[in-house]
Amino acid sequence: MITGEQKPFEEIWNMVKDFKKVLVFGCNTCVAICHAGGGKEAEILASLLRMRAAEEGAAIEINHAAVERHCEPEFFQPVMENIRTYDLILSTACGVGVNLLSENIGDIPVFPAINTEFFGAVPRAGEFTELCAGCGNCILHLTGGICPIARCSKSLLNGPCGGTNNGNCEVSPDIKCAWVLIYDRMKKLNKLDLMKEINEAKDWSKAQGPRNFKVKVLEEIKK
Amino acid sequence: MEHVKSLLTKVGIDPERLEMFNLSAAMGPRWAEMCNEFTEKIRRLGPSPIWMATCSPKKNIKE
Amino acid sequence: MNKAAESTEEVTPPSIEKSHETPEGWEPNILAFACHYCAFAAADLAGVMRLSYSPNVKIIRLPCTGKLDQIYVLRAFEKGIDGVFVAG
Repeated sequence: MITGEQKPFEEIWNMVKDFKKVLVFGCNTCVAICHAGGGKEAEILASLLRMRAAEEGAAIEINHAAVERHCEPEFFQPVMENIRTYDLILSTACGVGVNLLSENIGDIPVFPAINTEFFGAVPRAGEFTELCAGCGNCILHLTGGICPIARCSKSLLNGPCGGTNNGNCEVSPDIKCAWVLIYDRMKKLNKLDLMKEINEAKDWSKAQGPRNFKVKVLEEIKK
Repeated sequence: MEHVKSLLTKVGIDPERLEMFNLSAAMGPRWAEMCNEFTEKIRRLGPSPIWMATCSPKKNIKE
Repeated sequence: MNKAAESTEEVTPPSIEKSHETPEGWEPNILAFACHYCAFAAADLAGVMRLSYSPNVKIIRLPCTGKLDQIYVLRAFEKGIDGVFVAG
């Protein structure tokens, strides 16, 4: 899922303070799981902004709403007419949602209230960790299911480097060395010989945006 | 509770205005004492900034 | 979390709020969220015992303090409440 964290309150306030009618628009899928931009967070943010506006004596009407997803138009199309009555949409969806809504909404600005970070796993409730970088050319079968692109600070294809430090990364003791994890995993799988093979340079062209694809079968049906 | 306190701080409300107490059903006197203590604390803090901004100019003062 | 008892004795640190004059006739407006089974029962008991306590406290009964949502507290402050306490 996509993870993100809410921007600092001051930054958000500076975005909205010159508008008259603002909608805090939440997305109830990924960013709701990471407590950054779901309907509940949108409501809390709207409440805080209203209090701030009252203190500053700014006459801003601030409301909140949320739909299930911002990354597919069919979810926000039904409320489009309503949201077009605002002069600013403060979206708490991920960057994808902000882009898509901007394209569809016409001449109303859509501002982001969260910083979109990565797509990650939820090992424990409230904890998010990046395990895949979406590089478009998967090599997990060569590395015991542990991705060095996402989990090694240098994204090394052949490791570990000299910075490995008792199983941790030299960048931070909180980061496990991905290549030590790979070694341990390969040992368990009895595939240590794979470690000796040199992984050749990857085709990074597939990791560069803008990326898009169409499902062939669906395309044929359309024809 | 701590999270909401930090939210209040963000909008310039003293987190002291929010408190959590633990007490049992048998603690009637403690309840009364607690209410008085908390009221005194709020009295010292004065009206909330939101109240000052929204209600006060309208002279919406009870009594 | 039970800091209330100490904080009344300590000197209150300077508030983050801008200082403003208290209008005359102002009375603190306080909301209490109370758990039905403990704090609300305690409040009830206080009543039965004929204890007099501050009339500024208005109680909202919750089935359990676990029912309390952040937004309830924020809404109260948004409407201009001066203090909120949760008891349970």
